[in-house]
Amino acid sequence: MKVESERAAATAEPVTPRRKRAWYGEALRKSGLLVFLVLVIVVFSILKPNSFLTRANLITLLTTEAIPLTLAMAIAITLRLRDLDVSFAAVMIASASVGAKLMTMNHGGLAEGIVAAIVVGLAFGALNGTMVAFIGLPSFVATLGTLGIAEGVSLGVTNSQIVGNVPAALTVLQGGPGGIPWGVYIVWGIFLVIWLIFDFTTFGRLLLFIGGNRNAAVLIGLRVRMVRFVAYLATGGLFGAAGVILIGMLGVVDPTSDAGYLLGPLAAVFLGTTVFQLGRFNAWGIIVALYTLAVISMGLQILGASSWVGDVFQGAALIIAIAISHVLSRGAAAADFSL
Amino acid sequence: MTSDGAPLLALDRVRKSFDGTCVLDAEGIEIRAGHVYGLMGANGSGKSTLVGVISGYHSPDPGSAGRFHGEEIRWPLRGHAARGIAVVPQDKGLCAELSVVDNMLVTRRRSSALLGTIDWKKERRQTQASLAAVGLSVDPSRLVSGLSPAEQALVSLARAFEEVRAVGAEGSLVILDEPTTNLNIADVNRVLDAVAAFARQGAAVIIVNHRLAEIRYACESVIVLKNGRVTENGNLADLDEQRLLVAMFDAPKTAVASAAGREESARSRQHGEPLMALRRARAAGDQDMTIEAYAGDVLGVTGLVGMGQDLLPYQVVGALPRHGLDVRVRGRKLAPKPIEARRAGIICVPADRRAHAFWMAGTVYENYSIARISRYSKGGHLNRKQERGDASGMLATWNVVARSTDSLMATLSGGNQQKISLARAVAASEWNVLLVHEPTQGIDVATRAEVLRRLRSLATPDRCVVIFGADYDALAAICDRIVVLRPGGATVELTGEGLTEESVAYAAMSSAGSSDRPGGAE
Repeated sequence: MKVESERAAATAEPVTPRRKRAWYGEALRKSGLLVFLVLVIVVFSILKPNSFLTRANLITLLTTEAIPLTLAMAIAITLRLRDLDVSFAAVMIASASVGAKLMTMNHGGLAEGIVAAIVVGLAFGALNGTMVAFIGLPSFVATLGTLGIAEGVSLGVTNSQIVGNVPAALTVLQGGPGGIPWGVYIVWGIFLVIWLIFDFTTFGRLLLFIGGNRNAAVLIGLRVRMVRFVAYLATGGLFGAAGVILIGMLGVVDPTSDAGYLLGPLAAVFLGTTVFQLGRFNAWGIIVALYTLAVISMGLQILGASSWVGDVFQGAALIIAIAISHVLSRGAAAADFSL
Repeated sequence: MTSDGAPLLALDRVRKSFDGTCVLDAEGIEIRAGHVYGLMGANGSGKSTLVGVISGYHSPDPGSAGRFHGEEIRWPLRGHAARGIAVVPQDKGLCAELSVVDNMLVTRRRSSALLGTIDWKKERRQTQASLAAVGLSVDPSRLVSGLSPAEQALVSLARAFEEVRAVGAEGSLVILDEPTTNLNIADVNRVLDAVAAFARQGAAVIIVNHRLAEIRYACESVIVLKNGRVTENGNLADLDEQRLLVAMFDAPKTAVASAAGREESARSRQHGEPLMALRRARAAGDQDMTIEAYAGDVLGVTGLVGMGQDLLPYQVVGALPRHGLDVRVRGRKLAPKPIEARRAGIICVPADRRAHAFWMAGTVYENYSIARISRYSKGGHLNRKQERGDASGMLATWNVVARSTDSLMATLSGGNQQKISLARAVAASEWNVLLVHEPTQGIDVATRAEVLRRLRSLATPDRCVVIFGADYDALAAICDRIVVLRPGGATVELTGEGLTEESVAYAAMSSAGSSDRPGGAE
């Protein structure tokens, strides 16, 4: 079948105007998930006409998804390289633990805490980058090791205790214009910056090409190792930033809470490849996927599902997201992963 | 050794078509016990298909008929081990990370001790015996990766011989595909002597090989294929080199290179230093390899399988370890890094476009602009309009058939991909030397001619094109000079009127050791 399509391409007219074949069909294929999101909202609104589509629910949703959105955007950077960094949740909690601890210590302060949290993120990013880009370890296994180290760091610095009483200067992130917390606006800002990097800069293109064919990138003479290292470093810095936002938005840091942030961002990035730029880890796809999954989760809760249903849904969503992205992108545009 | 009596394997007629194209239509092949046969033919002549039919891998077209041990064959020739047929593929089929005895176990019926466990003592003993039969004595527990190429070749022979010996060496058939690749002359003899010794036990052996000296040393008879048909089939003593070459290759085709062009390049060679020089010092006893490319040159580098020409372009740019290869550009040493090679204007166009050239899920324009991506960015911001514009211009000038600049690379045909690969290489900054590996691989006939014409026209007076590969006809058509790599590091250079497909093939196949033919077997 592939041979046939190649032949068809070979015999086609050179550089003809776009095929007339129903433009809306193409548009629908590329934004099916967006349509699905609307449908989901409509269905839940009908099932729970009074309690689903409310302003309070919307703000809750945006608030709870702020951290997952940051993490999803961060891991999308290395996923564009076809690398899977699984240390993200643990590194974020380690950054938050160190930051919060410093902020609440006698001689500590807000600035030191913020800087420390981001430095911790960068340090783990540099570790991941060194292992993957320069030593050549497989990303999944290397970052799984980092995950373990980061979890240990969190427990160590906090003595396995929840850290509270963070400076009020940071908890202002919890409120904001229109009732939406400042933290959400900051995360949207991060989202927009990463979108611009992905779609409009050389770096974004280099990530895709290196991920698409690393051998070709080497042969062409691209700085493959440097790009990969920088990608991991930037990703680590974002984990640190997510940690700071977490301190501010929650006001407390639970050093064992990383597992709760693991599946959501992963499911969102993979589901995001099924929309807009098919087969690619693209920014708008990720945000739509993330909010779609969050709406379903919230809808299930409002319908009265037990909390374990939410866990099952998250796991199932990850599997389904990868499955859909795999099926949709059979052949050339495959977003497949072989670890 | 007698050639009387019924043949062990008789193929009255075997035809095999793929997708309606007939690739094999051989008649009258007879293989007799106790003999060693050479099987020769150019790329695509049907050798592998014939081997596949005999080994039972391919089922020939209806109407094919033959006899094995005097019995009418019912295709496919399945269960070949049980019938005493073994094949050793070109890559030897050994698992390098496993021990010798583990590799032997693959084809062996396992000795079952208590509870189906492996009786290692017995297996090792049997392995040692099989290795001794081919004149090899290594510890069976050693890893195959730690053995020399000659020892690995002998292990693969020992395994194949052992496999058919289970049925009985006498009347068995072993097919060896290029068994002596990568071996030096002494080791070649060692392997061929082991083959001869096995044949004397009453087995038939078919060796796929292209080194004339080795064929003459090891074989009594030869079968030559061209375009799927048997063109020579008989006693090697009656065939001279010229006749073998004619049997293998078609008449010379039209050359693209003009005589004037060749004179021009000869003149530039007389003055001036080489634009690029490759040198490799070899181990004691072997000669140094030297390849020099001059401005204005279209230089071909070729040889038989395993002579290293397939690694050279990647080693030159530093994408593969150089193993003692010294690369100089205008007299200055080139560091083994692809980035440095690009700075020096040394561009590699790989043979495997899917694996080494393109991001197949990316678009045409993304793949085209990547080599000089910095030109399209201002402060990191990409100008996609300009990217698409340039790609669109490239599609027009290179006559590429693609729906648009946004078509996915994977939807283009091989020939169109190859054009983009070349276009990208020469568009990238200031290039000086173009290293092209197998430029005609996997592309249709019309595009092939176009690609060759364009390659020829790329060698302007201040640049050169070096083509690495085994398409003798293509090389002879467009090259000013062809360097043929031969065993032992020797090179032969062909120029001027002597450049034909046959002369290149002959230079590649007649090894350096052909004059001093090694002593008789035993």
